[in-house]
Amino acid sequence: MLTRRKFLKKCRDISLLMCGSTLLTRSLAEGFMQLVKDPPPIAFIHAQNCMGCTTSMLYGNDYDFFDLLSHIGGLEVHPALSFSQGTTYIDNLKKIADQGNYLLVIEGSIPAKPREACYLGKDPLFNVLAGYAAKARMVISSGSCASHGGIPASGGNQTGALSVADYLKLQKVEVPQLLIPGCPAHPDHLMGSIAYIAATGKVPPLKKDSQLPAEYFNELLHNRCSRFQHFTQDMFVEDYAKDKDNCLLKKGCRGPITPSDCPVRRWNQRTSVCVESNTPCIGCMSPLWPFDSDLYLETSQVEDLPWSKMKEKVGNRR
Amino acid sequence: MSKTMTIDPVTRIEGHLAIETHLEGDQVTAAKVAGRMYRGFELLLIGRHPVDAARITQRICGICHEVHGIAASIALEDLYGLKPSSNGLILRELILGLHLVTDHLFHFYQLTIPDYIDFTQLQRYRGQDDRVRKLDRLFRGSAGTFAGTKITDAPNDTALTVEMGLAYIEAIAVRKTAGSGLASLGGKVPFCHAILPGGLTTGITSDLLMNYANALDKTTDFVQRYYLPQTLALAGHFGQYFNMGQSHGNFYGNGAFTLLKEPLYTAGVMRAGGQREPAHFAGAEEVIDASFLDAAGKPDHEKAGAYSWVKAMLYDGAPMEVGPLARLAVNRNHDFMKMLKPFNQSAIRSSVMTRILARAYEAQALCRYLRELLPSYQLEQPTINALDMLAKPTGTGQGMSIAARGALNHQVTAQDGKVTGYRLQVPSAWNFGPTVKGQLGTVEEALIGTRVQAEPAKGASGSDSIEIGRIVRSFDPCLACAIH
Repeated sequence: MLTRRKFLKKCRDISLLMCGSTLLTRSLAEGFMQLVKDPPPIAFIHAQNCMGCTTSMLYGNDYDFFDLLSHIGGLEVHPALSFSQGTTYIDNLKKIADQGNYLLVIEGSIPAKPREACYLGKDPLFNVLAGYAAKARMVISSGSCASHGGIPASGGNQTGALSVADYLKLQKVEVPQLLIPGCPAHPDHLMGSIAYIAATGKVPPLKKDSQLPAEYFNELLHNRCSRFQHFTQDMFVEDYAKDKDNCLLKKGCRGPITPSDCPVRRWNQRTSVCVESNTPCIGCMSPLWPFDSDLYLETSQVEDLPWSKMKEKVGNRR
Repeated sequence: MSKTMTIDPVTRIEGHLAIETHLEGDQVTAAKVAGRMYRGFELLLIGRHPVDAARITQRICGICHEVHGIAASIALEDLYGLKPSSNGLILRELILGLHLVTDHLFHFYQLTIPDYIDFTQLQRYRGQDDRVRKLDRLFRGSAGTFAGTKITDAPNDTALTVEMGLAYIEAIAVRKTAGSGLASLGGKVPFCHAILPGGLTTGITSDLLMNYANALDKTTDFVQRYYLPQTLALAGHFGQYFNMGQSHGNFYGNGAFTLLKEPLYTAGVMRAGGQREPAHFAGAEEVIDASFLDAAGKPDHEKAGAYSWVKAMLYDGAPMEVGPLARLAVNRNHDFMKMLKPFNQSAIRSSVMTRILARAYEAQALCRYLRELLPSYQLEQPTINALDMLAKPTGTGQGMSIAARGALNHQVTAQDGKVTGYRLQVPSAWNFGPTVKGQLGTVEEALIGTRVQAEPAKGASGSDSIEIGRIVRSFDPCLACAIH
């Protein structure tokens, strides 16, 4: 039997897992007690996406999507996992939405022109998504396409792709929103946020003037980079074949303009992270991703990140 | 009596797909396969630095998450005239191979078996294994996702259901381990950023290779102990599916995994009559007659006669099936033919069940291949021949490779260091293309003649045929790739 003592210890472990601190133990404990009676239904809708964000959750970091579900449950709709299909599937989605008070997770951008560039069942997604979103307790944009438009909205934006926030504004739907940018979203960023909401019934603390969870996006990636020391000593990667430890700024690294805790959180059972594989951060969590400028050119040649100014700016930080 | 039956959306696949069938009595007499989501990758790349394609095309698909980065890198090497380092080639195969295995595991356990196994039988379990009760709780705790569809012809076998259920969960755990192995080499998955033209950027150390070897061993163990035997068990229960879902019978495959003395796959074509021939790139042709694209390749959703965002692909004028089965067929793989023998299959033919078995066979063959390849890595040699990013190439580059779902070609065209054209010929476009020039698309053909249950399954609110779902999913649809 689960004793009270064991239960609180479990809450502490989960708090540590999610946040790296025991701060949340009490609210998590209260939250999980509520959950026994009231798990929040969760529904996923895929817009112009690639399913990388779902794949990311399934790989997980320390814990994966099924670990999360066995703790909090309540996954009612997911296009890649649901056993049902066709009208049965759509009817189920409608039923969950009509009950209200559910978490809606959207992966992908929403095409406005033509609306026919993405469907949900027989309807263009553009025509029906607002109805689903309006009934949700909260809408979570998972990944950079949903959060900022991402790749579909880049270049000439062939389909008038909108971020979820821009789409909901256009449709005049007011609903609490959370953005989890990333290409793909980091599994902890999305699942940790879902666990927080499920456990506390509250929105996670947000970064100032944003809808990003502060826990994950407060700091710039650059400031927590394991190669920061090399940066301060002007030691830069010149040849990928020979230099394996130096700062990647001259290879176009977007770390200095990308909010993320990637370098300390790491990926895939904390095995590694892009910079550790000796390749620059491409800024996939930045609102500018995938950038108009070249990804791999020395920063001095990159229009949106002048090298001289960058050095000054980062050198004078805090 | 005739009627129309539509499955929209097809779930448990990658992407947005609708299947419309016309039935005479209980038999499918016409079928339309429609891809329903478009982003325009080929156009979004125009004007960019060519190397950006290695990162951006990777994002065409999050399930086939490493294949486009690799195919793009091969195409870019061709464009720049760059020879990759030999270690770089090895690392690329190590990443591609293990990724393909994880992709196959996801397809079988998460996407396929819910069509065949009735997991409500877990409730009959009376044993001591807590994992089973946990799994039952998981399914019941997320009932909207994991319940509600009754499989009337599922094996009535609690032990088999429990085994499959445990493997359903264990497959996720094994993929996590494999993901760690891939991240050791490539930084992270999905989307290894270390993959660039010329090789891999990572500073590969002996301990990173050990991490990879360890992940490969655990994955191999799962494939041998669960994946392969369980596909055979499924084939034993559903023998009729060796005669269902047959395409035109033409197969096309690219070469891949060629570094060992005996390459796993060479490029080739096998015709419906059984004759085999080497493949030539010029044979592949994109046809947009029934696709929402104008002659310039721009989106045109009002185009007359169009019904899908997917382009049709033809080879020497004929539709082709691609995928693991096609690769094994064009290479006349004797081991795989031996595996089919107990099911009274004397040759490699197109069917639902041979596609499922081909994936499992390939997973095992890849594990063996990668284990053998690993020791050829030279620790003190470079991982990459780095590209001069300031070079401004003009010309064309071809990148022929494979994805879990079949043959993959990238073609980049550049002028003074800027992309002027990018063509993607992607596996699911071969399989899920529309009818053109009077010839049904591959999956459309596979649906014709199917007998479906007259009444919808209990618990289903619409007329969503389980048979059609099984046939379509056996091709491992990836619509994000097909349309891009």
